Amino acid sequence: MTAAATPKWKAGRPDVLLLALTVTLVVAGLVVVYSSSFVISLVRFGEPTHYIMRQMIWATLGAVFMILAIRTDYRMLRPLAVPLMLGTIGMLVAVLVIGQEAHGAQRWIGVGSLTVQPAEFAKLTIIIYMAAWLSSKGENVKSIEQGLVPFVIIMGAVATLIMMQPNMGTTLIILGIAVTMFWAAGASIWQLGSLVVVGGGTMTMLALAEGYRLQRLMTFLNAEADPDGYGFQTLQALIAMGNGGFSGLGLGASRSKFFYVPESHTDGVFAIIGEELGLIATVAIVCIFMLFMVRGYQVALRARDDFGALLAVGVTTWVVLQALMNIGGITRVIPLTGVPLPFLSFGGNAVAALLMGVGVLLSVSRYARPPGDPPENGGSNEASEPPGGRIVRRKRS
Amino acid sequence: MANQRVLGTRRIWLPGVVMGLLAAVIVARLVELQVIEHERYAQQAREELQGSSTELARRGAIVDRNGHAFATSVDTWDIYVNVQAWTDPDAADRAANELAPAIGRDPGELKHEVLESGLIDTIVARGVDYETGRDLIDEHPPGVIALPNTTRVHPEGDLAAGLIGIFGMDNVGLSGIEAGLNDELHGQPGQAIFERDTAGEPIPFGQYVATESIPGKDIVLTIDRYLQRLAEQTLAEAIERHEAAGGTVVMMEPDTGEVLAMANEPSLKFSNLNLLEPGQVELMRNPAVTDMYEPGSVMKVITAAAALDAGMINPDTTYTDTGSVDIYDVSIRNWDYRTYGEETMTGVLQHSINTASVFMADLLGADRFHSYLDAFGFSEPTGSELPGEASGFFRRPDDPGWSPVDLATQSFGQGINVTPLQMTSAFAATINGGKLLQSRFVKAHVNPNGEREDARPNVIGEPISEQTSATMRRMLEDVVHPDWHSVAEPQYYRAGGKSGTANIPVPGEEYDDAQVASYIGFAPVDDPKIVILVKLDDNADRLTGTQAAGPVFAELVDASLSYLNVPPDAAQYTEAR
Repeated sequence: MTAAATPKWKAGRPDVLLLALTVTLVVAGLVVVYSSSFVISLVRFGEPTHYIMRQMIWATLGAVFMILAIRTDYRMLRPLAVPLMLGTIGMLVAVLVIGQEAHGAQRWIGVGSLTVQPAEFAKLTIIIYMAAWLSSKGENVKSIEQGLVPFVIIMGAVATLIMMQPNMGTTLIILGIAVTMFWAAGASIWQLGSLVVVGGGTMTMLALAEGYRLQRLMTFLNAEADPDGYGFQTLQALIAMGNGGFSGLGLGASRSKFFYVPESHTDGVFAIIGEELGLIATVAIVCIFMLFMVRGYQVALRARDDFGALLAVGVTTWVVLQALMNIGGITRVIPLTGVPLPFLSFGGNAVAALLMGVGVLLSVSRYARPPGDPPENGGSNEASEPPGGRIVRRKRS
Repeated sequence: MANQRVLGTRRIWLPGVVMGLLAAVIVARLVELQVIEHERYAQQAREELQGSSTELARRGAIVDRNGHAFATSVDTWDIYVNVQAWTDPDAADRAANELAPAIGRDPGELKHEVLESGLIDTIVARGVDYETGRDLIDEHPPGVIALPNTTRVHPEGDLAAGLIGIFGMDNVGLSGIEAGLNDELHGQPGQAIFERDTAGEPIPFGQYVATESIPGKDIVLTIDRYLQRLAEQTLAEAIERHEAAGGTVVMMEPDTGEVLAMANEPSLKFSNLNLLEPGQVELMRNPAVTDMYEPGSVMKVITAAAALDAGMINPDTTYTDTGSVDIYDVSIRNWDYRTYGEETMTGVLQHSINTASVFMADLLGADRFHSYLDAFGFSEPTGSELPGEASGFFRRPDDPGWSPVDLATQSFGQGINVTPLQMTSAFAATINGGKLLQSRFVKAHVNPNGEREDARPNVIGEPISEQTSATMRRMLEDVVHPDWHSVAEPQYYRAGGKSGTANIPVPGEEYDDAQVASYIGFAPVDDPKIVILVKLDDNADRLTGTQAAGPVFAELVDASLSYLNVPPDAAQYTEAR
């Protein structure tokens, strides 16, 4: 299908609540990134604003991307899905060849003083590609030859490339998003089950094969065994949040960012939030992400076509799953995987990619049926639906 | 049509529920962490955040009796690097590049040293001067910690180094006055309690409680830097002239017990201080108070004073020398194997007749002789402020191995071990009117607020009467100024004194060839202002105490008394006035 053949739809307003949640997260992110990074910035670069300046530049850039994406009909992305995917694979290969190494992993490509982390943008392009591919399959998704096998090959290749950096956190996120989209597209329960079992098994084996991942797992189980070594990050994060209590020590007043919580401005930012602003803020953040999930999935349900629905599922899952993996890891509910907290952790590429993704989600929301408008009526839009595409909802949101 | 709804998107309730459940668990966990277990974590945070640091107090200065500094402390910095901050390569590079030039190091080397040290805090420079340290603090390179400290400077160079001594990095004295008066000098360290980061540095807005350090007291010594330099130079020349292994000069004010100068050779030198060298640790002792020697004939002064004081003899009592005295199977001879015939007690001291001092000790008997030795302070440390004083040793009738021969030899200074300071102090008591004073090196303490506490002369005992002392002065004057010319006679002053030539006790051999040539005396005779002991160890030219140490004594009397503005009293000068 080409863009020229896309029927003209009347665009509505983007989902205001999702936009508000996103803006809230970005603004809060700038505040907590500054609070959690000025100490480490001072030590590393002799000035407190090194990280926050970069974060602001990337957030601004991301906001421009988001506005462009909102104003664009998301269906324009469909023909771009394959080139984007090829480009992504090219970048993932390139980062392994010419990438810069930091902290024992090769994740960045330098462009002047700017560094780009292809894996962050890969999340978005894979969502676009999977949405295009799955929606083109229709009911055939349920078959093994047309559904499961190609899915496993594509995702296996992408996962392998990212694992080679190595970057287990991002791999898990991408697989989680893809499997969720595969499920939403109609994969059978046994397909889902076997993916979870096989994928989980492979990941566990990789974890056991690599010393530091095994160590992370052991730390999750018994951090107290090595409080000054492997358990340090886990325990210090808990102390930070615990010390924050109900209302926190006050914005900026974290003691843990003085190198007690490692990576306080990236993966560990939630601990600093918990220490400075207390339970009120931590629970609020979890609630914001939950609200984001409900609203994002509602957009998927209201989307006018499968491509849009799957895009909405993908982007929403990305934001929320990554948030829960980060927060779950920091609070020691699940093992620590080293993924940043969307919008709130320092990371320019991440915030730019996420804002682009949310832009796509909001673009889908502009063309979605308004809430309460049953799909049968098709609202004021011209597109008619085949009987098989009807979505029957027992309950309206 | 692919752009229409065919898929069962509603199935996303499943991932939604899964993530919702996870979120619910997380919220429950947050409530547990931040509310239920809040107190426990807050306690853990308090414990790991609590840091403290000790700031050593500024050490008091050591100055001579006129306020000239021998040792004083200036503010400097010790520079440490916390390795934790340098595990980050960017931070380490930046810090090393800023720090290295300030302490005169190569950045690469410095980084290597810190990262390889295996320590949390590595000290990279000590005694960095105040300005450089301040600049470093302003730049604040990561992990670099500047702790205030002080560095000891010695404005007089190596002068009196052995006497002043040294102290360790913990501000605790190791030798000399620095050790003996450590309690006064070291002051009270200050302490800070604060919330610290993982490098141990205070968190800027954290809580901070500090007590200021209280500087140590300044010590005003009884030493006069001019006399000290005179003593050291004169001793060094004499050692060279007589090819001696070493030596000691002590100058004391007889009426107060104040030591005006104390020189030892060999001696610790600030300019060449390296305690890792084997020989240097030996130099931390001050042999004038820690090492004992046999004083030899100098002891006859004490024997005579005791016999006079006990009324056994008077200066004109005669004794007929036959050249030797037999005690049991031991025959005691005179040092020069001569026979002097009939001599007065003054003549006995002039000629240093051994047999006559045996006669005096016999008149007293061992018990009375020993109680005089006790009264003169030969059985305990002088009580000066210097560390490690020896107490002296001589055998008594109750001691194992006692023989009456011991009493005989002790009377002329053999088989009795004393320190040079004990000898000086006892001699001072003999000629100052009979008062044994505590030997002192400290004239005053000065508190940080400027308040000065002067030490007072401390009379320990009165071993002999004032009259005996006056008699001793006359007799000793006749020893220095006999009818014939003596090399120990000062040019400008009338002095009293006595020589000694003794063998050095060597383990294994009772008497070795090594000898100690010494001279002790005072001047002016009528109103003694100074007591001077000169001791040369193992002079290779084998000259006697009078021949080797006597001229040194004479030279020192002339130079020191004219410095002290004491009018000359030698016959030709008094007549000229």
